[in-house]
Amino acid sequence: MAIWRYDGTFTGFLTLCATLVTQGEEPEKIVSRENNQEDLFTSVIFVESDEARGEKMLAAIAARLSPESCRLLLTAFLSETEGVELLLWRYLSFGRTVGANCDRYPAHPAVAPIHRLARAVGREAHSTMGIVRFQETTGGQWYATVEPAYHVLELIAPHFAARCGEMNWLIHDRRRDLAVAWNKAEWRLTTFDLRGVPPLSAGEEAWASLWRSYFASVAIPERTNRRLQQQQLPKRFRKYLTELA
Amino acid sequence: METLTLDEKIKLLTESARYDVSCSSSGSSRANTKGGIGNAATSGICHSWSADGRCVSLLKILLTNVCVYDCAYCLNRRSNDIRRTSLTPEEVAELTVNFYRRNYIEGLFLSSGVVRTPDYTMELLIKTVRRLREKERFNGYIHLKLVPGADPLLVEEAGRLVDRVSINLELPSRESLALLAPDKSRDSIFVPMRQVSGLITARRDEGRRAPPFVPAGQSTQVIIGATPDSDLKIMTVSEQLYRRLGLKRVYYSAYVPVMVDPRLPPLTSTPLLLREHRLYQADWLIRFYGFAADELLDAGAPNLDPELDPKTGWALRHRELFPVEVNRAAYQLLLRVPGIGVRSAQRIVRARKVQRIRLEELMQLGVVMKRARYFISADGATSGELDLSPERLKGLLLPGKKRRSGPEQLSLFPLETRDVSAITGEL
Repeated sequence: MAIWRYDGTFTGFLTLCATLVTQGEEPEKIVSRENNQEDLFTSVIFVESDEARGEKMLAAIAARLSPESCRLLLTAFLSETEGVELLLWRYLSFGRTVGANCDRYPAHPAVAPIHRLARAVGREAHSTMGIVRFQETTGGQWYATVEPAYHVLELIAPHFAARCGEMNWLIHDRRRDLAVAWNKAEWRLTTFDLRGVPPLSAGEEAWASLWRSYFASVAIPERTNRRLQQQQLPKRFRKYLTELA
Repeated sequence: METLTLDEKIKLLTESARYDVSCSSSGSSRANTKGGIGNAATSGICHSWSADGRCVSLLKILLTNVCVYDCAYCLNRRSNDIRRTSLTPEEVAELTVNFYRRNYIEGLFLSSGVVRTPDYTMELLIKTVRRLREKERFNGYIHLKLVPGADPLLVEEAGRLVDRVSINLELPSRESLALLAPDKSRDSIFVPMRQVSGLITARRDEGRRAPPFVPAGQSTQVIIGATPDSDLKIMTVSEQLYRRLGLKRVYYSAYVPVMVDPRLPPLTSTPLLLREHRLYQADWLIRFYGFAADELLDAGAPNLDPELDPKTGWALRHRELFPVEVNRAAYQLLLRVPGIGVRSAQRIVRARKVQRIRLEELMQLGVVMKRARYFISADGATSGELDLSPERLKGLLLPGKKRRSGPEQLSLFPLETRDVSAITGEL
């Protein structure tokens, strides 16, 4: 058994899985970064990312397992949790033995962790869709900052593309120095390390202020329940919220 | 009316609107149009949570707090001495679109006091949503209040423009309504409700291409604790609204004393949050768990037990039906086990098609074993705690002592706190 390494992309991971399948190998560990200490004692096999092979692998998974399995794999992958690759590989291997029935074993040790991670990432994506706050910049662009626990930009981009197709928007993940940007035709994931906020349009603060007034007035004083509010809206979600920052 | 700034108007008209508890934005999948803005997300999306812990999904506001009616429980009643103001349809449309672009909100929940006549008010509301849909090309979620007594043609016109309509029942019995809302007749509420229900059914037969008619259905609201109506009375009415008129939601709103009136509880009384919570639990059991109102309540016990949730209460009264064998029991029976919800029951049914489920695997499937352990077996295996005396079992199922006493501290609050839950009824 060996340590296998890939470039950290989902395509790269799929290419790696395709290689493992063809060669009939079982990995001891799958990593995306070089680690010199380990590399001294174990052989590390690097697999070059290959778009075509990745696509083929995904199609094979959709056919032999299910399209739902593909969705679960990508979503769990985006958790970027340490060791997630090996968990995904075990799920895949189990799926190759039971086929489309794979997700009917939610308690199986190869399946349960993937379901759990996919659920957590899905929840984070859903919450993030709600707490994105666009601000209009002087250039007429709409800019938002988020710091999600998982890498959810790709999961939320289609939602905002459909909804705000007539706006040039950019959502900046400051935790990862990445952004997803929409130019009224397509969205793209790019690296982005802006600090601070770009200059805002003249009317922006007025709308923000009206929103804060609304937000303060909508709470019923006799029912004040800060604990419940805290539970629903933990601190990490509040950092970029117009009404609470 | 005095001259107010937009900011002051928003504050006033929001304070006047906030006692309407609905904030759901789920159930509609309206798509965006070319050059338009917005769409509706089927699952609904919460955008924030206010200081009372309620989710903020829609811009919930009144067109005006001027009202010709004098309903005893309402802040905006004619005889109440408060500042009055109104927004124009243009102002509401502009506000909605600008909040929406910034992703503050999922859409608009528009209501109004009754100005001049019900028809005049309904026309103003329609003018506002028409402006949003046609001039602003807004395709986000709109929940519109119907005005009791409005012309059926206006009701139909409104339904073609919006995602959800609602008309509040407010009080579950004719007598209570006559006592506290003398200007509203029961018919003025039920006639439009039936009309909408009929039009939704008719729309269903027209096929998928026909223009939508309130795709997210209709809802209503009942005030809790302002009158002596029992839980049995309330849940029986709710059950009929669900089963006969196909309502999507009945909201329960613990009465917040805002008015001094000999017909109402005193200002010093606190809202009955625990009772409201129990009613929501019973409501969920009726909508998603196949329970009938008379299984949960009867003339001998017309009010829900404040100590125990209604499902556990029912299970304790029917111990002859347990243990339920998870590898064989019908889905409907699994749903009746305390600790098993819609999601976990679905997972059990899916999982057992390919394997035998063992007791220790149930937790992975989302079953709350702390409660379910007293009511189930898996291939005959049990927790060994099925023969407890009724008193002992009840003691074990009571909520832990950790929770501080008093209904105000209740932390579990099922009011639309997560819109996703609307699908399965999971909290």
